[in-house]
Amino acid sequence: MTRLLIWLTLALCLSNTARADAAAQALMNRYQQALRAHDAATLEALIEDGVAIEVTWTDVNPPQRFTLSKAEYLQQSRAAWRFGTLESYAFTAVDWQSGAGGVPLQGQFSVTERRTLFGKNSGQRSDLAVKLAPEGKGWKINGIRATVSMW
Amino acid sequence: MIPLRLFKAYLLLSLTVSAPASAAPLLCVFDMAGKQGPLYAAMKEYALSARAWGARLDVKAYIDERVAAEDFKAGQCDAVLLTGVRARQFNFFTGSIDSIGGLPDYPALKQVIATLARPETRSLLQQGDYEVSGLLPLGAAYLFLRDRQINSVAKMAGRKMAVLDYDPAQLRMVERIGAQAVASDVTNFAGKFNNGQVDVVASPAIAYLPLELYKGVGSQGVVLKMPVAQLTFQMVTRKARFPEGFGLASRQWFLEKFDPMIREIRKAEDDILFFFPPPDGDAPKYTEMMREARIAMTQQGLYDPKMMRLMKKVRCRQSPEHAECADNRE
Repeated sequence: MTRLLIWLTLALCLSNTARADAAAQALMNRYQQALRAHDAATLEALIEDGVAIEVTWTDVNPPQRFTLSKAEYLQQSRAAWRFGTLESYAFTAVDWQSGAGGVPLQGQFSVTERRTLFGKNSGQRSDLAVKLAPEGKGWKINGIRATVSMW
Repeated sequence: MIPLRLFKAYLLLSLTVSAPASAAPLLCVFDMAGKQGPLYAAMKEYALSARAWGARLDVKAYIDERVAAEDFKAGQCDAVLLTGVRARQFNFFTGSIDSIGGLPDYPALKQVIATLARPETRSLLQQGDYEVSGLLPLGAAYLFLRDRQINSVAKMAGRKMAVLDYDPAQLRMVERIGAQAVASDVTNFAGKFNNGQVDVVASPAIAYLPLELYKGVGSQGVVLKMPVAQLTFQMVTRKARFPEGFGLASRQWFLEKFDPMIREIRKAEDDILFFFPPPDGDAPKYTEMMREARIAMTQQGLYDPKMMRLMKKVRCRQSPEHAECADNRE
């Protein structure tokens, strides 16, 4: 009986984890599509209000860390879209780690953004760690940590 | 038949009665876009409202603020709309609103302007022949840098920064941080930044697109999202040319325009690329540095101590936990 309970609990966790991973991946797919489509409204909906976004610039000496609000992060995205042309985003696959019971989730991936800014090839590579938490029937991003190199 | 003598007397009398006592007061408006600009348009609207307060105004646009101020001093204008720094020569108290680090945000600025729109503060708005009859926000001044490697005050040493040549406070501030001051005015600072003559400028967001400051920032620069001053537009009137009570009514009109103006300013701020707050932990150091500079400049006679006291009251009502609220240095 005990062994059955252990197997049932494990199956439930794995099932939860599989469901969580699928839902989280779906969220990240929407996040990536929103960036490519310059869809600020979707980006806003995917991120919790009150989230603190930590950004570390590595190409200044010494490296500097900033904490942005959700509004500041979205404002920077919109401004980049406004001024940039010939834009592309290249994402690596997300490496997911689950907490106990499958929640919360953390995903790590990189994104390389290229664009032409003021006539010059420009861009940035960001190594991101994104935390997700359940909200209602879905998920939201409730933490972002980015290490960024710009050119 | 009317005798010729009587006819001539009647003609002279009718001409004397029908001639106007003086021309309509002239409001001179500094707007870089001239007659096509938003400030000129706003002041045309203001002139219509001013009729209810007893004045029928003519409005003239100036694209050179210095000339507008000079024409006002020379008596060619009866009222003039200028930036707060330029208006400081006409009212030291209100002209000190635009001081370094004086007010942290727009709610604080609104409190100051609302206070100055009250009848009981009327005497503070008058200096000599002049009265400040309106104040509008121009937006927070932010530092625009061509190189994000200038990521500390220490790295500002030796760098070139545009300063307004009629604001000695800016010159002193630049000297304090070890940078090189390059004399400029509002019509040429952006060009100097964009073409690399200077490494740093301070500017409100409202100038970002029209003056193409994004070109100077480029892909290697940054805009520091921390106000170094709250800038204003100020209307200065020649008291004798306006009826009693005009200034008070006019200041109320300008106060009602505060929120719509802030909405436009925030839209402009939303456009800024590479708009980053100070690195974590640096904001308090910058605030303290600006405070020390402001205190020193007040002691040197560059800022009005009464305005410094008012602004400190506003800051400490907002954030009583700040260390400055426990001392009486301002």
